[in-house]
Amino acid sequence: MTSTLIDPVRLQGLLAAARGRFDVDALAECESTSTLLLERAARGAPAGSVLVADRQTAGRGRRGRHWQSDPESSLTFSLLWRFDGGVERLSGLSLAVGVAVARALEACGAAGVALKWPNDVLHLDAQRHAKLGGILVELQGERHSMLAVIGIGLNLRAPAVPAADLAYPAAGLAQALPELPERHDLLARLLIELADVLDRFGRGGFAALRDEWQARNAWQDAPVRLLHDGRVEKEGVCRGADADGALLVETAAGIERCLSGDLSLRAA
Amino acid sequence: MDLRKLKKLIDLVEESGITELEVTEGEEKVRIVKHGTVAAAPQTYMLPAAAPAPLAAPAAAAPAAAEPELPEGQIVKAPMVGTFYRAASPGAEPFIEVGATVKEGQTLCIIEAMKLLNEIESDCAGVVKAILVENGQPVEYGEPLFIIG
Repeated sequence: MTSTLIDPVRLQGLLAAARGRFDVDALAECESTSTLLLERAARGAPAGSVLVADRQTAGRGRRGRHWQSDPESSLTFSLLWRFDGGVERLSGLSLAVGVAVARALEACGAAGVALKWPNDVLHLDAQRHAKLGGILVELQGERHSMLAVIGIGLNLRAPAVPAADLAYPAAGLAQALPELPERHDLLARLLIELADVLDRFGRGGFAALRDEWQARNAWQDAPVRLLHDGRVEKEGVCRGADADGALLVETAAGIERCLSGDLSLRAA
Repeated sequence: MDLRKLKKLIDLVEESGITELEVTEGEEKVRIVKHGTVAAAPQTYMLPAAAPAPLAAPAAAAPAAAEPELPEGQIVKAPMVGTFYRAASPGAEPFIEVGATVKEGQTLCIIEAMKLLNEIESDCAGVVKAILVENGQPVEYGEPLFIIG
């Protein structure tokens, strides 16, 4: 098996204008890059610290859903960032990160990349939609700022797991591209787009990125259903995201704002 | 600002423990003030028998009059709207239980909204007197979560 470990020096050379803004550390294996990065943050790790692991043994999805990770078929990493002000300024951050990931994949030549509220990256083609990756943001308050650890997991190849075992159908980036990009090139492109998106988010919040998100909204104007703990909470037409990232669903009662839940497409 | 949004904001103030809300959107500014006493608010909070309904104290009451009714301890409030979780993941041990001793900066719960998991830390040291919200329930901005004394 060829080594897939990221070489931080080689990566820096690919970062173009974002060179020097990231401090990258690569590990063959760890429990969870986000958990480890939170620990490093507590010991003073600077903004821009990146932890990429070939293999995560306890990677986390939202609410403890496990994230499959192995080096041949996925790229998983976490990024530490700091934002001025309180948590109220970070609304929509997970959606903004989705914009950066979509941009990066498109820059690598991927077609059919779309975003599902609040934070899934999908691959759409004529027949189906499947999950390419996910984003999980963990926040901690600091004295005058907020610390964010942004975890990103991307499937390079569709996982070799029976579809019935997955909460949602999974796709690999290989299905969206003629040829998979080299890992350093892909990670560098992701970091370049993240630097730009997070800078813009820091200045103008999600509102500054809303149009870009909306243009990639997988189910814009489609009938959707919002579930909470497996229970249908709302059904209506997806009208995209509000300026703070809240989901807008048009129901009989008008346009309603939703802040949590699992969104799914409703068969017409 | 359209009427629907305004109605939504009014409902939000109505349902919450806050008495005043000011929203600025571009050049528009809306201020909603709730009249009457907080005791009239529809929301009720589960409090231990030892704490004599402190949250029902009228907000407008003079501090001296309100003082004896304050709970013994500090109220930790929700800094954001979202879903309240007492553990890092389903099935995991809760961060804290009633009666636990906590240090300043210790994680008390997580509030999740739009896949932002915000760890809420205690801003004081003490003993957890009450947990005011159930796991998995939605919380509003400023809603009391814990009493630490």
